[in-house]
Amino acid sequence: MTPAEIKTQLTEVFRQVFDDHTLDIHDAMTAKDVPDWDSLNHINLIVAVERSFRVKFTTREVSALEKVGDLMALIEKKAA
Amino acid sequence: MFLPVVALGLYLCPLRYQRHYLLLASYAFYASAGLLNAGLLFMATMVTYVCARRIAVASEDRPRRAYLILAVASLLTVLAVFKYLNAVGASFGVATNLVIPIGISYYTFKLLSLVIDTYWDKLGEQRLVSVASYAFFFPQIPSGPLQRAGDFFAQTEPPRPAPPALIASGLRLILFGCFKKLVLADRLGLVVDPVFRAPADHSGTLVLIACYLFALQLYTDFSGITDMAIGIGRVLGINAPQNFDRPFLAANIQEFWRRWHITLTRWLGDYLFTPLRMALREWGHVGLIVCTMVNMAAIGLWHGPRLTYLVFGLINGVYLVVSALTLRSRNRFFKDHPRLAAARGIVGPLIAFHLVVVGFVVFRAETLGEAGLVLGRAVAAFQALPGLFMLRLQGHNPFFGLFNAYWKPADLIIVFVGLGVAEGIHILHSRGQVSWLLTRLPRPARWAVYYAFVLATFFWGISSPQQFIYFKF
Repeated sequence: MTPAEIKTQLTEVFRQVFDDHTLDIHDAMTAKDVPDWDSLNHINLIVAVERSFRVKFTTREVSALEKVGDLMALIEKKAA
Repeated sequence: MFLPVVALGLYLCPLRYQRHYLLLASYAFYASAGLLNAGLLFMATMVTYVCARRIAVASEDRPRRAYLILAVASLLTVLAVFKYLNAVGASFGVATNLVIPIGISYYTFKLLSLVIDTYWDKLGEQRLVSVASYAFFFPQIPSGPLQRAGDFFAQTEPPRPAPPALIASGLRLILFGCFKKLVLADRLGLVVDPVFRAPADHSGTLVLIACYLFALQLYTDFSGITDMAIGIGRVLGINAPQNFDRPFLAANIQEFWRRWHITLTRWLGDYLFTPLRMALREWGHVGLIVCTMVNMAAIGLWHGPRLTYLVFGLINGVYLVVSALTLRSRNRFFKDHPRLAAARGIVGPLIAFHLVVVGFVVFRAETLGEAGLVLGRAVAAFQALPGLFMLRLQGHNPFFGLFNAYWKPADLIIVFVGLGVAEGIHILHSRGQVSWLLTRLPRPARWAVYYAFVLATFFWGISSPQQFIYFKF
């Protein structure tokens, strides 16, 4: 998948998980930028990403994520 | 006092030996609390160092995982033994008078985070002196904050001179922390402690108010000593993460736990909740409930083997589960009813605050029975409040002399004004404006502010400060 395709699909996942259809994502985005994005919701997001892209993450990979850009890079690596 | 001597030594010490100097000073501090304590900390550090090193250099996953399990199991076992042996022994009628080493909960968690971060490739191989100075860093030993090794090493390796601005802000923070602890927290304790000791002997209204006051006492006490710890660290050139972010403004209970004891919540989130949740992610809602309850039970039990600590954790776990499962529908509801959304901004934090107060009452009580008694009387008094306010409007004063047994009128004023001042400073801090504002003041005015705090603390600090509530953890 191309980075642009990943971003589009990931945006849709974010919008579903956070129930906000105006939400847009960018590389530097972190949990602080989205209301209600806390550790309780974080794994909901990860599960939704796994289902949408048909990939599986390890705890180590998830714990290393600091911003949305990292997540997109990880998806690109796994979906390749 | 210890700090000026240590700080002076640090500034004069050649950069190359700063780590060693800091380690020595920390060790001296800790050893003064008892050589056995220091020995235990040293052993825990050695185990962590050896395991972390083996993990860092190994390339196969099997040995890495083996050393991880070894480190985690030994550290947790030691912690569990020291915190729980007395309680377990007592329930079997065996008296084991094990003294809990100071700060064992804090340094155990710091060492655990170091070895787990090494396993997760967030940290590389470390020298023994680095691991030891991280674990032994004395400002953080009594009551945190729980700083991550990566953050600590980023500031100490390579060693550098302490920036003067950081030192100045550290001194201010120590002063502010002393003020909050001695003037506010200990003064609030003058009412809270007697009421909780004998809830049946006080009026319902006073019991109710004492519940609210305890929340404020816990906040000023804990944030005060945390500020002192962070301030001392800054004087030594090392900044530490924030532990509180105006928690009572939280819009809901989930947000509260992102603003209260932040480093502990984050620690458990990263090392317990997230791995468990990942392992159980196919369980859907059940997984969320199990992980949240386990996580909050851990927060409760971390404080000690008292049943009220565990129940405090479980109560907050239930709050969080209910909140997490209903958040989406609540958000949708308010989106569809925008006029109510404005009220949500006020009612939300009030509800969250009351949920927190109930949990804190359980935390404070020695037994569940005591908690039940206090809460029962508080709820009854709450329901009687409208009636009391009506009486007030009619010219009677049912609140007359409410605090007389414990506070003079001056105390009430000091608490109100002090809390206002403290919160004002918290607001400035959250906007990063404290040093900005102070540099804009002319020198005499700035020093007047400092002296005001010093004098306030001297004159109004409670002369027999109760032990810091969080020192025994």
